[in-house]
Amino acid sequence: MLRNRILLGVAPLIILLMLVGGYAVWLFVRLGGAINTTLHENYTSIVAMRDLKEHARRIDQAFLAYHAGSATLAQTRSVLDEQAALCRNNVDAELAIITEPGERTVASRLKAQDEAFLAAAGTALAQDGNPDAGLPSTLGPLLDSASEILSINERAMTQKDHRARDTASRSTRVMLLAMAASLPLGLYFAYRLSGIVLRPIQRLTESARELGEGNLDQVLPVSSPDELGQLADAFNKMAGKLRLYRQTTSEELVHARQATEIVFAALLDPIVIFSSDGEIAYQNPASERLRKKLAGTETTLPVVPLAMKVINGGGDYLPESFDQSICVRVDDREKFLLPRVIGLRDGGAGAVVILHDITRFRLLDDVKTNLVATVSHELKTPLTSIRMAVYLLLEERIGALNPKQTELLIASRDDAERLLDLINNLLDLAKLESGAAVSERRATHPEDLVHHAADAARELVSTVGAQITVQVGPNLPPVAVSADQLGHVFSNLLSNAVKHSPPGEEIVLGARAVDSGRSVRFSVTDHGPGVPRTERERVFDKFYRLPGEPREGAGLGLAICREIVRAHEGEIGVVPAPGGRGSEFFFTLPATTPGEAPTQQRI
Amino acid sequence: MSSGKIFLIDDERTIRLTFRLALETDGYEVHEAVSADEAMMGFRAEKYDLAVLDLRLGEDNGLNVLAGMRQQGIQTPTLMITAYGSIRNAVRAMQLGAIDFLEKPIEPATLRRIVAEIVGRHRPRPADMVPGSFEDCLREAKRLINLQEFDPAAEKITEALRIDDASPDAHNLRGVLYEICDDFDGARRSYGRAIKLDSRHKAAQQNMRRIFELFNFGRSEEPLNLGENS
Repeated sequence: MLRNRILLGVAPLIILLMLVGGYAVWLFVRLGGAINTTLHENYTSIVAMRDLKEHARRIDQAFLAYHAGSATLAQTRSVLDEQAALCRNNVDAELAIITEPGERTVASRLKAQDEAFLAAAGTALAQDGNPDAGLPSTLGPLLDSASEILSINERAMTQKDHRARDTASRSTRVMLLAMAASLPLGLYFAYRLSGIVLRPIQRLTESARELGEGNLDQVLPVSSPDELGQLADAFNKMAGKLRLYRQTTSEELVHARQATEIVFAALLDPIVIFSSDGEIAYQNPASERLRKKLAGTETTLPVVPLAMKVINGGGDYLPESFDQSICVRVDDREKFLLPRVIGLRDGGAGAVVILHDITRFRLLDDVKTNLVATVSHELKTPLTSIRMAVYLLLEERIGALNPKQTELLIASRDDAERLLDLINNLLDLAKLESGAAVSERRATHPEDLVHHAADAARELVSTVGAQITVQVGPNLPPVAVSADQLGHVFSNLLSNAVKHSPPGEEIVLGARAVDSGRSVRFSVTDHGPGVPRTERERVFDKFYRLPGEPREGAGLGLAICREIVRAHEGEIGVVPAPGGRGSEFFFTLPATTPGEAPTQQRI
Repeated sequence: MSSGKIFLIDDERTIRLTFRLALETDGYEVHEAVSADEAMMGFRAEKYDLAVLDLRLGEDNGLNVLAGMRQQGIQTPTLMITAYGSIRNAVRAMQLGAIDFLEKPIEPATLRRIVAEIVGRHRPRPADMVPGSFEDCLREAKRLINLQEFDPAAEKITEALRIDDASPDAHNLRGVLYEICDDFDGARRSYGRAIKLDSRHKAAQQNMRRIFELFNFGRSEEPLNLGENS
């Protein structure tokens, strides 16, 4: 444990501190104890001796006073009694605290002298205060002995004072020495301690730094089971995990790269990646093959300018039409490549050029167009013969027909016509759906369209006894239309209306501005049976017929109308006629901006 | 009853049969050829008033037959029979002097009418036609185009237009001549003029569509149309 380590490191310092401290305490205790006991005893002796001398003198003086007549005998007696007791107390006290050598001898003598003095005093009192009863002779030695004890003790105190001072100065020296000695010792231990704690941390720091710089092969020795050891262990585990992670990530990267390259290599479309300076950074085998094949020819692919445009921030180049393809001759065959250029990070990091090989699509397109043409020709040629034959027979120029034969031939002719209509409609629809039907659009006034349509249909309408009414709203904006195709839509809708109108009924051909003048809504309203709600969407489907409707047409008319209207960015639909009887077929066309040049549109 | 010698060049037996019957009942003498080679032999052997030539001729192309004829100096007026998609560029045929096209399917009456018109324009002027009249000028112009004499044809059309500037048919024909001379802007203008004069002029509309498609796609399936009434 790091704590133990730190404790172990600090332990010598603590021991040092304890030693010095212990010594100091011992010194204090010794000094303090000596002062307390010895000096106190000496001092008590001194006080006792001083008091003894005082009391002895008092007794002497009492007697002197009696002699002088200033005190009575009784007074002297009481003084004597009082002071004698005090004298004995002091002598006893001295005897109890003998400390110095030789003191006991003097004290014992003092005791005797005191008793002699007091006895002399007692005698003197008994002899009516005889001053010569030996008082002065006993007082002198008593005072001398007391003084001797006094001086002995004073001398002892002085000696002890000196000794204490010596001890103190010696202690100071020892303490200073100990301090001086413990300073380097303490520094040394502190240094050792920091070493123990810091060195592993320093090593860890260095390793972490290297780890940060990408050197993941860092292993720290786990030398101890303490916190630092645990840290080192955790560090090693982390480095290990990082190694593993880096390994897996780089493996994944290698994987992804390999997969990408395999996919690129497998792609038949040439792919070139340009770096930001326009150099080729990568190209797939298809691109290499194409370059090799073009190397000998004069053909160059204009991909570098396209790529540079994207790299210089021109935005991705994503062509929408096959017309933007590049035609190259490879192996004596025409190849159509549609270039797509996509910037890497908005072109700042280069660009990817994908040359989409659309040769096959173009071939398919051609095949489709040819198929329509072929089918048309192959169907129309025999149909031409059939119709020709039927018409020739019906002319009766090559022979007369009986009524039955005529009837049969008329039936044949009608069906031949139906077949022709069907082929023509299919052809139209195929052209419209493939976008191959192209027509020029001109800004046209809706009123003109409606009136032309009405004029064209008038004859047909009158044959069934119906009548046509034109209703044109105010402020109609011009619409950009192919008059041809719009005429087709109108004639289809009108012939449908005629078909479903009861004789004598009115067919309304209308046009009005809708969507605040942004579109024009054209409508053809009849008073026929109407279209059931569930069938309204489906009537515009190919080959669709309303239930119960006679099988006259092929059911392509409305489908063609829908294709034409859609190609004009419009919508077509059917709703019940206003008033609820019959139906209203309508379509909307967006208004063209005034002054706009005639546009060419694929429709 | 008209009369004349017609050379019918088609690889389809049924077409040959019906066309021949339709024309024979109108008094024409009809000869047949089933291939380009046979056609060329026929032209060398005999002189015809009209060739009826299908643009699809088996493996061969009717346009090649036409070119071969002109190369050999055979200026027989030719009626081109087309079906949708059988012609990529009608201008080539027009430049070879063939300006009359019929698109399948065809009814006997239409066939007879156009055959009679072409044969008629190469005959001496009918008694009821006034020389220098509008109709005469148009007739002459077409005849001259058939003979690939385009400059005199242009003069005739100008003459016709001087008489009647409001005739869509004349403007349509002028457009055809412009096309023959590769002046597509002029052709566009003339067809536009014709459509403006008659917004339902099918011939001019079809010609305009061809110009438009040629311009946008470089090819067109639309044959040439000189109009129903011409």
